[in-house]
Amino acid sequence: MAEFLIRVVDKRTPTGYWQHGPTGWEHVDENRDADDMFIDHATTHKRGDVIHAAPDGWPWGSDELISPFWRIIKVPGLELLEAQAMVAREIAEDPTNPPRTLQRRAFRLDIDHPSLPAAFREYLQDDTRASAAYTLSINRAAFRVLKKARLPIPDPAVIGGPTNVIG
Amino acid sequence: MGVVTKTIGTSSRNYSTMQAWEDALPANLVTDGNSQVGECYNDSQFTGVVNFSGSVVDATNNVTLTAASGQSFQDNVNVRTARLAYNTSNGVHINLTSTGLTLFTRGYDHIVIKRLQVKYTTNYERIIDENGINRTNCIIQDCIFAVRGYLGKMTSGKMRNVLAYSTFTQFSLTTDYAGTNTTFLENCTFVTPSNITPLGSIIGANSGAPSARNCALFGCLTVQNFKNLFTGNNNACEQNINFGTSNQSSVTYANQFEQSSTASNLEDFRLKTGSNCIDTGATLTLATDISNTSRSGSWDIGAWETTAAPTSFPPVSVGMKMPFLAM
Repeated sequence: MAEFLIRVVDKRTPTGYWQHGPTGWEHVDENRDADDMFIDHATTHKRGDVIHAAPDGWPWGSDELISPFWRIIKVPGLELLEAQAMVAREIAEDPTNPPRTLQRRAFRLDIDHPSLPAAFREYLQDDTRASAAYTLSINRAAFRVLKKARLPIPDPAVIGGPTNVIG
Repeated sequence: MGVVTKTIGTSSRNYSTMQAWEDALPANLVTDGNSQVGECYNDSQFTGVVNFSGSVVDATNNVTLTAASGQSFQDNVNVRTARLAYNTSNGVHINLTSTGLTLFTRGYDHIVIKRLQVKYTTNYERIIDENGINRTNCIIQDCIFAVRGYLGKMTSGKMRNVLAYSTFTQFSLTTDYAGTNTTFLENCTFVTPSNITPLGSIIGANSGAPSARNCALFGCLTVQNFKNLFTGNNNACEQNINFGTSNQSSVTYANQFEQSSTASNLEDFRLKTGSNCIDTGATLTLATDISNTSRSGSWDIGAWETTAAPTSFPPVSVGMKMPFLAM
C-alpha cells in the first residue's frame, strides 16, 4: 500500500493564474500588472498534484492531517515505486535549454474522475477533515487511469507562443 | 513583521517532509507579513527534495530551512572532537538515493538553508540548481554535503561555512548566470578526497563574476575552469591559484586535513596542526565557523576554525611548595 498527500485546492500566486479550458490555456487575470503569468502557474502545485508519496503507515504531520488544501489518500496494493513516480517533475524536451514553464509535477491524479466513488468525492469536499485519510480500493490498472500527464505550458519567451501574451 | 516557525519530521511534527512545509507556505509572504522558518528534527532520515517555487518574498519576509535547536550536527556535544564529515549520528541528515533529483531548486529569492547534512549517493546529481535564473540573497550556510562528484550549479547568493566533498569522482561546483551574478563562496571547504583521482577543476564559472574568499579547495588538477572568471583572496589549494591575492598556492595536500581519504569511511576535514589554512584567512562577515565556534584573531581558511588548546596546569596539593611561592 502507498499513501499520498495530494493537493485538492490550486495554490495560486498573486499574479493571476492559467487554467486549461476547452480552447486551450486561458488566463484568469487577477492582477493587471502581472508578469510571467505562465511561469507563476508552472511553479505552484495544483489540484491533483501529489506532494508526497509514502509507504504504508507514514507518520503524517499534524498540519498535513487537517489542512483544507490537502487530503491523504491510501491506495492498497499500489507499489511504492509507482506511487513515487507521481512526484516526478516535468522533464524538458531539451534539457540543455529548459523552458521557464516546466511544471513541478509531470503527472497529476485525476481525483475528479467519474469512476471514483461518491464517498471519495465527499471526502475531498470535506474541509473539516472528519476523516484523516481515505482508503481508495482500486487496482493498479484503475490507478493508471487516474494518472494524467500534465500538459506542457508554453513559454511566452519562445517564438510561436500564444498570441495573447504581451512580450 | 513576525516569524512563523513550523516543525518538520516524523515524530508528531507539523509536516513530515520538507516539501510539504514548502507547499504550505503562503503564496505571498510579503502581504502575509511573516517570515517562514522550517525546522527539521532528527526523527528519521530525510529522503526527499525541496523545490522552492511559487511564492512572493522579499528581504524581510523570507524563507529559512534549518535544523531545530539541538538537532543539527552543529549542536552535537562532540562537535569539536568528532570527525568533520557527513555522519547520520550527529544530527539532521538528508540522504538522497534516487536518480534525477536536485535537492534544492530555488525558484525565488531570499531563501536561507542552514545547519543541515546531505548525502547524495547517485551519480552526477545535484544538490543545488537555479535553472539559470539569478537569485537574490539566497544563502547556504553551515552545511555538510557529501556528493558523488557534482555539487551543482549556483547562479547567485552566498555559500558560507560549507564543507562539501565527493565520494566517487572529482568534486566540482559551477556558478553560472548570463550576466553579472554575485555568487560568493566564503570559508568553504571543497575537497576531492585524496583516495579519488582528480580529473579537472574544483570550481568553475561559465559566466558572471563569482568570488571565492577563505576557501580551502583541494583535490584537483586546476583550481578553476578555463574561463578564469573567479576573483577573491585568501584561498588555499595544492595547485596554483590563478586569481586573487594572499593565497596559499601549491601547498601540500597531505598536510591540510586530519583525514582526507574516504577509503575507510573515516574522513575528517578538520584542519590538522601545521595546515597552511591556519591563520591565513581574511576577516570576513560571518564570525563563526561550521561548528558555530567563534573565529578570532587571524581567521583560518575553510569551513573549520582551529582553536588554541586550553592551557593545562599541574595539579596542586595543599601544602605543596611551588617554586614561584618559595620564600
